[in-house]
Amino acid sequence: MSLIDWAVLLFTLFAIVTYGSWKTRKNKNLESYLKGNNSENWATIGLSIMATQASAITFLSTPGQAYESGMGFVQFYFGLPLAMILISVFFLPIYYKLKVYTAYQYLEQRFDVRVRAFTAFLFLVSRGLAAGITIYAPAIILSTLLNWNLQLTCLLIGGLVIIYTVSGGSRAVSLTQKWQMTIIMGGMFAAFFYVLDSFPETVGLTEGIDIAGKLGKMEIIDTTFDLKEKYTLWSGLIAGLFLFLSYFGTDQSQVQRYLGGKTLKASRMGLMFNGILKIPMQFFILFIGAMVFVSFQFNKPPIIFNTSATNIETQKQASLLLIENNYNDIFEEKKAALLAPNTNTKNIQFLQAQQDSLRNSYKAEMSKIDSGYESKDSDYIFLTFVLGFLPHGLIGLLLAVIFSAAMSSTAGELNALASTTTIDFYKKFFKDSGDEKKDLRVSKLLTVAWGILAIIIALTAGLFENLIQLVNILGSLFYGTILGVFLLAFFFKRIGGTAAFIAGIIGQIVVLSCHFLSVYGYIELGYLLYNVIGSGTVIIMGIIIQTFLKNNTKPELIPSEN
Amino acid sequence: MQEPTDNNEIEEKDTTNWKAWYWGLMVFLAVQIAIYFYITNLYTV
Repeated sequence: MSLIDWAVLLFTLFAIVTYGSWKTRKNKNLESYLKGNNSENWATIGLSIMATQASAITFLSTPGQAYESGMGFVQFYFGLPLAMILISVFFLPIYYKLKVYTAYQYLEQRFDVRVRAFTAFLFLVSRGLAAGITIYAPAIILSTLLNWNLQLTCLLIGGLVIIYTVSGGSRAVSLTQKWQMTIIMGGMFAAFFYVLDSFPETVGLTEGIDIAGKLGKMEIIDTTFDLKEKYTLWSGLIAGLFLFLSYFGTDQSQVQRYLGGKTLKASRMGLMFNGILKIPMQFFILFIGAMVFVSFQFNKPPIIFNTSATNIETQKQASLLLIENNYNDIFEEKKAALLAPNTNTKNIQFLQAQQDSLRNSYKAEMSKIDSGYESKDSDYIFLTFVLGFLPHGLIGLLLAVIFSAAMSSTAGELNALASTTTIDFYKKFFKDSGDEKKDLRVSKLLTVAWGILAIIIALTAGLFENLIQLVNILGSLFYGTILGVFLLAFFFKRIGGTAAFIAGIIGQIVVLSCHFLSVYGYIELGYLLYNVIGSGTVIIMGIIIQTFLKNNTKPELIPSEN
Repeated sequence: MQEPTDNNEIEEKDTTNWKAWYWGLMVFLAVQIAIYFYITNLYTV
């Protein structure tokens, strides 16, 4: 990294932190701290919703995913627009009507305090762990490729987020997310043009798409109905709908974003904004990955992208050198075939398959030499391209993109964790002093506490080999149950608190059982299906249990202050 | 605590045709899937 890259990176980061802290320095009460005084317009809400969802790993992993497996991952998002519509119609008006701070407050008014505490607890567990990994995941990649100190990188990301989230609360999170999202998209567009610029003169965008297509990277839709396949049209539309309904409708880190809207209309518009732009944005990021793949057909890529993550001296291992030499020979042969006037599709597909096979053999050999070697290197592909092909200055900007994405999602998470702890636990069970200043202080202290916990999790994450994978499915482990409870609340008016509470516990046990059966190989299930199983179990059990209980639903929804 | 604007008032002032938005979003999703389906068929290896 050159001096100009450092200047761009540091200026961008500190400008955002200073802006967020300065603009929101006058927070005087809990209302303004947790809901930003209901002052956000639809564009800020929309960008803020997108920024909270898009973590740094989105921008590092997604292009790598297209590079390795093509663009089918976009199907994962097909349920999102439908979820936006359902939340806009059913969830949002109720949250606004009851003037809640957190989604879980509604559950007490609809059921009872046990159901509220149960769902808020599930949220704190899943989101609390995820916040640490949101920091750790990009930090490990940045520190590996740039030779930075991992602990310092985690501390820098976490520390900067704590500063403006504590000082400005929800409004600071939304305002900074707006600028972070602008930087992220600006950086990604710039990267896209440099990817195209790295093609040979005779290869343009159209030829690039053609090459990606011939080598299997443009197969987007999979219509097979296979429960084992993670990304198909049906899993995206059905299981994705449940996942996003739960994430956007009941996860406080998202609910808090749109509860800060000026009006119900502004919040709805923010959701529509997300519904319209999310799939094209993900398609664009995947498309960058497919074009990086094309670029690496002409610019020789390393055989693996995370060499620096291991201590193996690859140049001293004869078996590795032999595979690498074969790989390089095939690369040259394929490059010549692609640039020839009449490209033989079958031939280049054959050569690509050989190259892929050599890459896998190399990884297997690496694992034999070093059992701790992590063979999944797709997260390192995009950053390898950025460091190798982008001009100085722009490298700094792309690193700012990754930091911004990490900070924006972490800020949303810390803000939501502190709100839920303050409103659903501290004020509810411990002390409701009625003193706004004191409550504000407690909320700020809780933000710091969650921030420190997230940093501690990030600093120790390396001790747990499969933690990233675990946290990736963590959301699906809990979302199904939470969504099931909310669906009972919205659509099954006769179900009471006791039935909902017991059904929630059973639903959670069923999802965890499915997960462990899947982990130990007794059943094969894509993790997206946990959302359907969890919510389905809660609803069915809720109905069954209610039939055995005296009807104890509350006759009216009475808004409460906490 | 400051009292947020009365939501009944907000609902009355909101003349947005939400049904049109929802249908528009669903049509947009269908169009995107159709385009992706077309690209997939074009390049199926």
